Amino acid sequence: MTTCSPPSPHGGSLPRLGLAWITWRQHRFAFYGLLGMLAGFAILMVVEGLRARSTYDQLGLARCASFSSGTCKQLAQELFSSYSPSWPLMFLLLLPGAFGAFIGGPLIARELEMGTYRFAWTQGAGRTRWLLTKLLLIAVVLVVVTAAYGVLYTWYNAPLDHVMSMAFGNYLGFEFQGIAFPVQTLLAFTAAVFAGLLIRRTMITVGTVFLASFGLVAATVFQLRQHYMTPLVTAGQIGPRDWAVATAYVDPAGHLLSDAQSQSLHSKWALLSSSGDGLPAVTFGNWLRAQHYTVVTSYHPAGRFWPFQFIEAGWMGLLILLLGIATVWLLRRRIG
Amino acid sequence: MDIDKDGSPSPIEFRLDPGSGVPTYLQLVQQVEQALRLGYLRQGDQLPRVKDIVAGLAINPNTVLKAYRELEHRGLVVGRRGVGTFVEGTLGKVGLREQAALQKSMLAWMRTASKAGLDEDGMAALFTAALHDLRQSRDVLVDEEDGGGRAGVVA
Amino acid sequence: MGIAIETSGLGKRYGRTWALRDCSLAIPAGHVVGLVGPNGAGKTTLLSLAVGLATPTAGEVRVLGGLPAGSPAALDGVAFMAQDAALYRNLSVADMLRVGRNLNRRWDTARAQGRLAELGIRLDKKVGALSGGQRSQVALTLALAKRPKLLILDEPLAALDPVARHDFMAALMAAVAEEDVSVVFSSHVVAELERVCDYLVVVQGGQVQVAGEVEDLTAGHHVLTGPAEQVDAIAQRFPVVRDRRASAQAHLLIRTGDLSAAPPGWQRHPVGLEELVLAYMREPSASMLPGPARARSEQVAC
Repeated sequence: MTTCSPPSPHGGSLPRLGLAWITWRQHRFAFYGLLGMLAGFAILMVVEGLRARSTYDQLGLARCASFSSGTCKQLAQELFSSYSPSWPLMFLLLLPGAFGAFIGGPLIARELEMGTYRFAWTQGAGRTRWLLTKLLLIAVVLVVVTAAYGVLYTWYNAPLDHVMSMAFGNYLGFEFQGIAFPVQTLLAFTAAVFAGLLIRRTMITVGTVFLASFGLVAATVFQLRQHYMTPLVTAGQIGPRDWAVATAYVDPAGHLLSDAQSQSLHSKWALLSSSGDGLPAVTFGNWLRAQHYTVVTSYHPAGRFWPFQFIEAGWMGLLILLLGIATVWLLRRRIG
Repeated sequence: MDIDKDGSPSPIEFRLDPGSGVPTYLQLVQQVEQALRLGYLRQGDQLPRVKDIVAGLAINPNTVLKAYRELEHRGLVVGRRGVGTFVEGTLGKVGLREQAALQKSMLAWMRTASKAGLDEDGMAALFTAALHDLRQSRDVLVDEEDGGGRAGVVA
Repeated sequence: MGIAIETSGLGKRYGRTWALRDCSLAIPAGHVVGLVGPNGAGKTTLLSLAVGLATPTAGEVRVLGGLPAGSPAALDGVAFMAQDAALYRNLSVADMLRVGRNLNRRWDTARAQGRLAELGIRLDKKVGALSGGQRSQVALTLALAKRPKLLILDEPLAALDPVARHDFMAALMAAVAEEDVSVVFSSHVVAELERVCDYLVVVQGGQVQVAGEVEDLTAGHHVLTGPAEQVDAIAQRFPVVRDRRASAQAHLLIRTGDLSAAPPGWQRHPVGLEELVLAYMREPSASMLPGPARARSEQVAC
């Protein structure tokens, strides 16, 4: 039995960009959906960004040298309130999970559900190549689109960023002005592809991965991220872009107080100030200082923005890689 | 009415009788012989192409090839590579007059049988049995001739 | 002539059940092979293993004279048409063809388009909007456009009406007539096999029960009809596949290659493929596999 091919109509290799065309043909509607959603946000951002710029000019903020005090501080506050910073917040946390789940979920699950894998994976290209092409192409598109979104956000936020120094841990900035957003999206996407292979049902996969990704991103933003590095501790002021994660008290002997101790200290002050024994009301902070306690702040200095970005990209990237390898392995070994 | 006329080079068309119990290849062989006897096929005519038969009857091409091999073996047709299969020989055709005479004598036999009380099915059964005997006696002859070679199947 | 599909000790377990077990089989190339058996017998499993969709739990399966199933070379030479013609229903026929072309090293666009034009299937129609028969024809077109050496079809007739069934088989047989391709197809409909198959494999309960060339199978079996009280004597002389008897008369399906004449008092009838297959399917303990006398390249032991 010979296995060599007779002279064939299109040579002995796969058509160039053939698999890319298939990927495009099968996922174009998901891609349009992704673009449509982002376009909606992008339009809002462009409008808001332009409006912020005109407000900036109207308020004459350009003439201010510093925004830390006086009229300029007031003007900066005015610019801040002209932004409507709450609307993207909610969606921001949803987006990586949504993109990942809706684009990645059906990639394998739908083939298994509809039985079309029996066609797709018995063709000359083979299933490994089929999967890798799809994964890589879609990953590239997701990265490009989400990175572009980050650039747009940076532009939108630039006037505010100029007049008000935000801590870098402020998550909108952290999310968009680095590589966190694309990486989170990729993670959700890879997880969705993998889950689809296990669950084999499109809608269940999409739902599960959407919720799980949302949970993971929320946990990362609100819990995990501040522990990427050990915070520095200072008794003095921290810089405007430093990220304060906690405050604590040090007693006159130089011992850091535990939470319980801090609590009792606060109760003591509250008791004193409410007993009204003729002393003028004193703030907790001043009272502490009077008692020779010091207030210390744990913080991540502004310079840690990129290290934090890389740490986040690092562990998520590792997870992406593991999920990708597991998907390929499972696809080769376990289907059928 | 739908008439299938798709440019087949052959003057005949095969049909299959799935209920007959006769192997498919043999049905094809018999139909060619029948067509030769009845004059539908003449010397030099082309038999239907394998692809056409197969596409029309949904049968295995090897079956057709086997039938054509059998016909070739019997010296009735000859295959030309890449062209097709053509009628080469003729079956010992019985003259029309002779056929009529034979039919007449058979009719006489049938009347006798009818008078004896045999119905049509009975006559058919007798005929089949007689045909069987005829065939067997022929087989014995063939066996004796070439030392137990395969008996020719003659319809 | 090489070997189309060769398995040795092949087994596949899903969970705790063996869908196919300890199967050694060699199907020679150049045949139209019917793979029959009741539903759930292991037909789909065997075919899935042969096209590399499933990986064996035990043993191995090779195609086209030694290529591991599912290997790149095997995928190039083997075309598979899955049950229910697993195509993308939301794609147009033209796009479906393009998908096929883009997934294969070898692809005959002209042939595919010619076939569809002959069948009167419009290229701009969505696959999902086609009739079952047309969809099967599109799937067959896609499979043939690969110019495979081995074409494997899983229950291609199951969902078709009688006309579509005939047309499909006609198209398949025409393809076989046109080029050198081995065909293996599974079916639980036994009736139509006789005119199409020249090689038969019967699977039952995850095991191969019968395998061989149709001609040998039908020549090697006879039905004997005779007095019921002599059955035991006959059974001593010939292996009996199936034994149907009433108080006076008995029909015995026996297996023997050289039955020059029926035993005295018995009548001999030839056996049709359908009758033969049904008899084996009803008697799971009987089996008919090429013995040493016939074993050329097709060693079988299941």
